[in-house]
Amino acid sequence: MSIMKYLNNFFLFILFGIIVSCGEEHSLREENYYIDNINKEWLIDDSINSNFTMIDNNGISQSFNLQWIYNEMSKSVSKNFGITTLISYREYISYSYTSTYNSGFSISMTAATDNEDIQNGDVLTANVGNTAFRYDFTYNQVTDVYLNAGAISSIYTSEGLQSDTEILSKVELIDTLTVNNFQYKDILHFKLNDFTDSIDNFDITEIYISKNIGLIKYKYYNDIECYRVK
Amino acid sequence: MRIVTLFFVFLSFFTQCYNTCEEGEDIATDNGILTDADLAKVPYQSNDTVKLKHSAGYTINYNVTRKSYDDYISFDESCAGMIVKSNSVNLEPDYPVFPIYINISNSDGINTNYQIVVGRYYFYIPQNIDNTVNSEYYKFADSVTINNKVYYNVVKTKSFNGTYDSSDLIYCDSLYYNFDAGIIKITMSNNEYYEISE
Repeated sequence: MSIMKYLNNFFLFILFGIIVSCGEEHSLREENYYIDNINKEWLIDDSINSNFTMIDNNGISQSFNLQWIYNEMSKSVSKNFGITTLISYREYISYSYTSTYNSGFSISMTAATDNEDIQNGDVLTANVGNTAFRYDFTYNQVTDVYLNAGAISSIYTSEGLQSDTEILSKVELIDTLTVNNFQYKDILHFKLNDFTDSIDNFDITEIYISKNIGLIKYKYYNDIECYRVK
Repeated sequence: MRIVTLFFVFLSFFTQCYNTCEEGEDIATDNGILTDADLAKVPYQSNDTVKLKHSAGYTINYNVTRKSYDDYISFDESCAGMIVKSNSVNLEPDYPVFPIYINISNSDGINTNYQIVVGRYYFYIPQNIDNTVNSEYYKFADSVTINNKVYYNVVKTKSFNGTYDSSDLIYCDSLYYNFDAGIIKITMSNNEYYEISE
């Protein structure tokens, strides 16, 4: 009899939870997460339809045109036993460019979260052509790498970042870099060290991004380099 | 009796809703063939290497693949459609610039259409290149000289606005073409260009 009573109470609790959660509109808890202002400086101070030009080491130029800017609070829902326990809103800002030769460039940032079990820092995602990476500012680590040849991803656990395959690609922060006779400050340099057996001549292996400015240089596997024209 | 009536009403409704046509079924107008003369106006064959030299000096090699296929185009849900003969030519570069795609088809049933896609910039070549070709997009030239070689009966075509974002600072502006050599020159909006290199 006591088991029946326990079960009844349990189902009543679940029912209560479902009712109070009202689908995904309400939850037991709501959190808003915003990108740290210092990390936001890695994004671009530019407006839709603005252009910049890059030239490669064989004198071939192309322009990049800013097509989209997204700035939103991205919603995610956590549930336990069908009950919405947490709705979190993470600030997400993204800039996407198209280019004359379809290389394309995008850069975005997602705010850190501070859940009880899993914590991640502000994450920067960037891609040029078919090469993309994610970098976590709190862990100072590349968390994901995407290429035509495949993808490697890390997952956040209570013990930190973990991945089945060790990610060898690195990000280093450089104070200054001279590109095409102009000195840029505060550079994020991504270097691809993964997929060494399956890399293609036209895969981009190095990406340089300057604070507030964006893409300033990138390099292909076959040593073609593209520089921003100031 | 009422149940039987309802069943047939439901069945009738159901069959009306799902009265769709499969590809190639019922009324298909065949637009005819692409003649050898039509196909010869694009002088590239599979495994050819097409060389285009950039104005700064670097030569890009394009590897050619070419194939013919049939497209079925349906007009509406009444099973009417047409079979369109197409021939596609892909030029794949050995450098990270634009690939070039050429499509020949008889899609309107009257004319043979020649479309050239350079990266994301679209051009249309007239089916006859002569001194009657003159419009906003086409200019005819008796001859064009490139690297001391003379190319006769050349059309200069502008890329079609609306097929790319016109806010691009550097875009593919014009393309020079003749039926003997194919693409002779591509000019960019910043005065860089690519020329045929033989």
